[in-house]
Amino acid sequence: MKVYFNQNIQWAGNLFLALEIFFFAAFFINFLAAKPRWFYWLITFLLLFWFLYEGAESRFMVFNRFGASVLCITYSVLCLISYWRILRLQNYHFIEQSGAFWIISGVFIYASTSSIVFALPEILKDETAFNVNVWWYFYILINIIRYVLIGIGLRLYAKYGD
Amino acid sequence: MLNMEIKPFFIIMLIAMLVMAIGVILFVVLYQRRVIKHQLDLKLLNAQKELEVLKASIQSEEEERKRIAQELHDDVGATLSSARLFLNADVNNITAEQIIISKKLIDDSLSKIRMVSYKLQPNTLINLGLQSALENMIEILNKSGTIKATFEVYRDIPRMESYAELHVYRVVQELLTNITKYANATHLTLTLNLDSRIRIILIHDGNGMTNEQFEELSKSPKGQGLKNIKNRLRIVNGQIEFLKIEDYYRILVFIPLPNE
Repeated sequence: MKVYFNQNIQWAGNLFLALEIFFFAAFFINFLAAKPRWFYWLITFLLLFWFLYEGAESRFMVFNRFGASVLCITYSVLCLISYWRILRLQNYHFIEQSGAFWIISGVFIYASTSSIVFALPEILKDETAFNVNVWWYFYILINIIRYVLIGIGLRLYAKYGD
Repeated sequence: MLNMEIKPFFIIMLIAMLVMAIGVILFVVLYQRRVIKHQLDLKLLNAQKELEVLKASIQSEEEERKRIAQELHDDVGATLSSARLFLNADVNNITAEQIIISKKLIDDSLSKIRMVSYKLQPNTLINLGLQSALENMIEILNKSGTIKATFEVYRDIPRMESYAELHVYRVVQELLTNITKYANATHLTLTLNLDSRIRIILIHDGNGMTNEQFEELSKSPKGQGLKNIKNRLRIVNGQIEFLKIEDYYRILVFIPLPNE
């Protein structure tokens, strides 16, 4: 049985990605201690504006894959910078007890693979050229891993702080 | 047709990306563990070194106490006992000579107590600094008559933290004791100089030792004094070198300048 995106729920995906930008922006700006803060929040708003502009053409009813791919690449880069910061600062004696580490790992696994999932069909510009099932199931699997890891991270974050 | 070509490539790309992401995470975890293990090893090593220094310092303190007790018992005790014997005679029959001898014995005891007190904490070192204290040390050594010692200063050395001055003073004291005890030297020169570091140079004509012998002896149970030298120099970040040039042995002690 082939599963296709229901066009009616694609607006929810767009909305979710837009909200996600705020969540990750707050997390990374805080974790990387990025200063000046207003500058990074400005970039976040510009990114959001660009994402909305991209989706406006289809009135947000078609999932903005190109925008999602750009966001995933941005998150991947931020995750790599965060890993570098973890290794450089050597603040964590037991990295497994760091909530931030699990959150970053969840985001990194999701963002690095999903960027391909979103980008390839966009680059190929051929909707019939791939089987939707393949990336749909893969996307679900990656999302499950992501939320499990972020869940562990948030639990540890609440327990120990960071 | 296009579907058939793209599908495997697409799947391989996804799996490769997933493997890469997991690889990065594993690398971070393993690298972090390795660094932490290295840090813990370093901390353990430092703790062991500190313990060694502490042990040596306690042992040296105990030996110093033993030496002082012996000095007080054998020298001061014996001299005062003799004085008491002279004064123990019948008050009516005591002669002027007996009083003079007793007075001399008590003076001797006082001077010995002063010497013990000086050895414990030299006043010159506290009030005037390392340079004057070393000069004084050479003066006392000369007066003892066991060796002909000279003191030279090329450039005045600055004052350091009191603990550092005391450590360096003890190092030179230990080196001089070793030279007078074991080297059979007849001439000795203590030179002070200053460039990027404080340089204390001891030259003597006795039987000295090489760097290798120093390292070997300081590890043996008999080399407690040499071990103390090493530990004291470690505390002040100093260095020591033993050289033989022609018929003379040189001991070079380097101490970093106070502001470094």
